[in-house]
Amino acid sequence: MKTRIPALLAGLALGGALLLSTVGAAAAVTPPVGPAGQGVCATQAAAMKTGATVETARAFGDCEINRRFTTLDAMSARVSASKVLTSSDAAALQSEIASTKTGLTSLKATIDFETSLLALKVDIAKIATDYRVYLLVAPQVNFVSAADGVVAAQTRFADVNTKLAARIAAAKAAGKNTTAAQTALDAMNAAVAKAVGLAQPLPAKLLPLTPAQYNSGTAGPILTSARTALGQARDQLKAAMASAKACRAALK
Amino acid sequence: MNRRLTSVTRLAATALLVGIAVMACGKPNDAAGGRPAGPTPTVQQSQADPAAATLAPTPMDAATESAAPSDAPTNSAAATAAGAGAGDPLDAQLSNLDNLLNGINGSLSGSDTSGGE
Repeated sequence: MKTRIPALLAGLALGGALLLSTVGAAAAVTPPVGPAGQGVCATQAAAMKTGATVETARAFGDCEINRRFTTLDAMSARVSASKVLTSSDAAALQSEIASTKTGLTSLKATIDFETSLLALKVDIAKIATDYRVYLLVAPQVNFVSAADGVVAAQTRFADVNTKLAARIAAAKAAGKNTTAAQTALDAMNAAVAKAVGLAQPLPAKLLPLTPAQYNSGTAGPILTSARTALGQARDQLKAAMASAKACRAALK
Repeated sequence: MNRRLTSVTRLAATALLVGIAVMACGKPNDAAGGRPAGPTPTVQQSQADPAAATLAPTPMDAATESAAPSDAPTNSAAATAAGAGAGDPLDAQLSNLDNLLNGINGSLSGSDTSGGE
C-alpha cells in the first residue's frame, strides 16, 4: 500500500504535466479570434491621465492603434471566410479594411516620431475620428454580412419551396385537402420576398459610408435605419421558417 | 522487488491512460490550430469590446455558410437534424436556415457598441 500511493501520485503528476503541456501548446496555436476590447489600453490610459508625457501619450496611442489592428484583422478573416457575402461586397469590405489599416499604420508612425505632447494629443484623437473602426467599419462589416445573409437565405428558401410545392401537388393528387399547406407556403414565400426587399438595397447604402460622413452626422442615420431594416428582415425570415414548418406539418 | 516492479507498471499505465485522455481532449484544438497564428490575447472575453467580440465567426460564417448547395448538410448541427429527420431533406434545409438566421442575429448584435470611439 505504501508503494501504491507514491506510484499513483507520480502517475498523476506525470499525467498532469502532460495535460498542462498539451493545453499550453493548444493555447499557443489557437489564439482567440476576438479582437482587443476597450479595456486593453486601460493601463496606458490611466498612465496618461496621471502623468501626461510624450512617452505615456505615445504608449496610449500605440495601444489604441494596435487594438484596432487586431479588430481589423479579425474582420478581414471573417470576410474572407464568409460564404454569404457576395464577391463584390467582400472585395469592397476588404478594401476598406486594408485602407483603414494603411492609414492607421501611417498614423502610428507619426505618433512614434512625434515629440510634442500637444501634437501627440491631436494625433491620438485622429485614431478614432479619422478611421471610425468601431463606429463605422465594424457595423459596415456586420450589416453587409447580415444583408447578404438574408439574400443568401432566399436561394435556400427557394429550394424549400420547390420541395413543399411538390409535396402539396402529390397530396392534392392523392385527394387530400391542401388548402392549409398552400396558405402556409404562400406566407413563407411572401415573408422571404419582404425580407429580401428590406436587405438587398443595404450594401449599396452602407459600403460608401466614410468616417467623414460619420463625423458630420450623415452616416449615423443610415446605419440606424440599416439596423432596423435588417431586424425586420430577420423577423420576416423567422416568420418564413415558421410558415415552412406549418406547411410541412399540414401535409402530414 | 516485485512490489517495485508492480508500482512502476502502475505508474506507466496511469501515465499512459492520462496521456491518451489528454490527446483525446486536444483533438478539437488541433483542428482549430490550422488557423493563422494571431496576437496573444491581452484581455478576457468579458473585457473585450462587444462590437468586436462578435466578429468571431458566427454560425452564419462557420456553419451554415459552409453548407453545400446540395441537400447534403455539411455542418454538424444540420447533420444531427438530418439524422433525426431520418432522410427528410427538408429537415437539413430548415436546420441550415436556422443557422443562417442565427448568423444574421449575430451580425446584428455585433454592432451595438462603439468600442470606445
